[in-house]
Amino acid sequence: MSNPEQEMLKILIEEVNGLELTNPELLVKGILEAERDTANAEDRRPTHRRLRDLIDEVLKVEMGDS
Amino acid sequence: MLRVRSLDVENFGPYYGLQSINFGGKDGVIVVFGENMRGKTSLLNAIRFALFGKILGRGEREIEAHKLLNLQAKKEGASKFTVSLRLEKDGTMYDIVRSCNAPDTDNSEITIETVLFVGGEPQSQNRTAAILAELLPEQISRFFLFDGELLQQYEELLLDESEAARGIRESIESILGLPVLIHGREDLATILDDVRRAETRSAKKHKATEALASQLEILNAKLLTAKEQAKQIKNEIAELTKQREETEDLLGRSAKIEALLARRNSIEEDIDSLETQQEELSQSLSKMLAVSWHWPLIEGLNGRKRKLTNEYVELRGQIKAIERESHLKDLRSTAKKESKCPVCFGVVNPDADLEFSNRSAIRGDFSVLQTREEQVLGQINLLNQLTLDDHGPAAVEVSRQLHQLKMELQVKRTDHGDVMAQLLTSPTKEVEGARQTLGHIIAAVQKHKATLAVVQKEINDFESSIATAQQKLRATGEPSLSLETRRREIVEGLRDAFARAVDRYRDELRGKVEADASELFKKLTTEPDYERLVINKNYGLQIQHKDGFMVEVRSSGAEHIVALSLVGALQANAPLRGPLFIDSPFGRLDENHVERVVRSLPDMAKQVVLLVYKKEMSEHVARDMLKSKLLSEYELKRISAIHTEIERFSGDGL
Repeated sequence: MSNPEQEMLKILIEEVNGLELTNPELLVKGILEAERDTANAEDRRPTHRRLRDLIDEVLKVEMGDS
Repeated sequence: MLRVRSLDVENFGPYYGLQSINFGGKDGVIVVFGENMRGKTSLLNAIRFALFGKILGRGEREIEAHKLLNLQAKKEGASKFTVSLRLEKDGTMYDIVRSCNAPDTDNSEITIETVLFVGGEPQSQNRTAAILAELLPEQISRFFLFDGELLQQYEELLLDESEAARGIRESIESILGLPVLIHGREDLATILDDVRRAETRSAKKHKATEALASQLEILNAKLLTAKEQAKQIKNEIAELTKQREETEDLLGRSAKIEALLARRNSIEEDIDSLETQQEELSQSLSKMLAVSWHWPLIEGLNGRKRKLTNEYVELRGQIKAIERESHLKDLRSTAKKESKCPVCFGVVNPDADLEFSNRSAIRGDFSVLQTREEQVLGQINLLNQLTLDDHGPAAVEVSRQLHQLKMELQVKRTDHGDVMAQLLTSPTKEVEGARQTLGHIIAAVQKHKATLAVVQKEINDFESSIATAQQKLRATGEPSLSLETRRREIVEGLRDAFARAVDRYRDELRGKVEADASELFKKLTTEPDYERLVINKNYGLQIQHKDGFMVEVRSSGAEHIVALSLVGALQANAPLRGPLFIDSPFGRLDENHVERVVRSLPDMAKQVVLLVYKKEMSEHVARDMLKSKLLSEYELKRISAIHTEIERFSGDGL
């Protein structure tokens, strides 16, 4: 990750604090990477799939914990 | 870090045959010297063509690629040009080979072919487009490949409502990486619509939540319709904005035509005046040179003239003395003959001795002296006819002035050629009616924006109603909904977090760009009273004086320095670090500023390529200011008007 991307990550982690996620850094980093990889893609559906998978992973952990 | 390693052009623009530049793999500056019309801008265009398949003319207008086929090659029957660009990013080599083939004279079958090798492996056409778009997105290319003459565009950033400012601001935010966050916010908003629907579907299956679910279903449907409507209006505004830019461009070109005509007339007047001066000086020099054979003899001839003049003065004295004596003798003779003085009429004794000498002898001396006097006078006149002034230094000065005039004429004729070329490609009839069209477009945009505001308010109201309904749904405590509700909460939270992050990151970036641009500006400016630069929301930069006020009116040189400071600051803060190719960067700067900018170039980007003409920046400035950071120097050498060759004349530090 470049310095600007690390800066974005830092801000996002602070911003998602209220969501009480078990591993916010992993989720936010995953979303940022997906967005960076597809920054110039017109068809956003593959990006949406990647984001949904990331969110499902978080949910799986949370539901498993509960 | 993206680095340009090498560029090969074959029959492209003024480059006949295969010509290459090796940019190497080290950090530093490469200078390419080339006078006007030798192909500096064509080198930038070669890189643009390789990366984006596009070629830009003056005013950033796109030029049809096939027009760049070298004319010498075309005369010899060639129909194809090729550009090969080697890039390096994070240790991987990317070789792009793009060619344009126009075999028919009517250009009906133009083909452009692109082949990309990554690490030596050829890529499919689909992958090629995607990889190139990722390597260097076209939208941000203006910060890597730029025309120094267009730096004044950044002044637009100071005008809040300018369309040009909006375009540049978007490019700036793109290079700074903001689209990653903006896309994240938008993608999460789309996902949120889906998970909301899933939550509602789930709620409908249970009696306790069925009514709320139905209410949510209606609200979600209305929200989606409103969002779709907003999207459509935004697209229409974007389309109208594009049309507005094109129309304004057309009107701008109309104004530009008038400006070009005025400029052409002014240049032609200058050329006439310079040609007259040149003619006068040439004639003056010719006259001087016609007697130039005298110059080595001048000292001897002047000595001879001085001698003859002295002799003449002496002869004149002797002749006058004889004339005086002869006159006295005549008086005496008369007095003796008439026994009376002819002057005072007194009585004269006839026996008095009044004879002094032999009259014929006097006459004889007189005749010799007169003959000699005539000879001396003749020689003096002859010498006077020769120009005996030493015109050597004057001729050297006239020759220098003549050379200077020729140089000025050459520059004026080049400018004239440029202006005429622009005039020939400018539209004339197209501008008719454009003003009226612009009025319609502006009215339509205003109407769409008003509608959008109404729709946006509806969206906010629906969002608020949905949030209330969702709270009620959660309050029912239905256990089977927990997964869908949690999913919706996470997506909603993420969307809001990304929305806030966009604003925070944007503010932080502005602060960083302002600080870095100020630091660079202080290094570049020669004005010690300028304290710093202050950024606005468009990334426009204003100069703050040490007494606290903003400098409202800036010179073109100051504008240039501010724009270079912005470019340097953007490079420092961008996720993508890349090369800096600058065409004619110093046109509006004095020598002191040029030296400061050149010295600071290695701080602005790791790889800098300057495309300059020598009057803009001399070789010694590049060498003195850059020292070991100057990697190599190239020269664009004229072979003919349609044939330039690239020649490296210094530098082995690649």
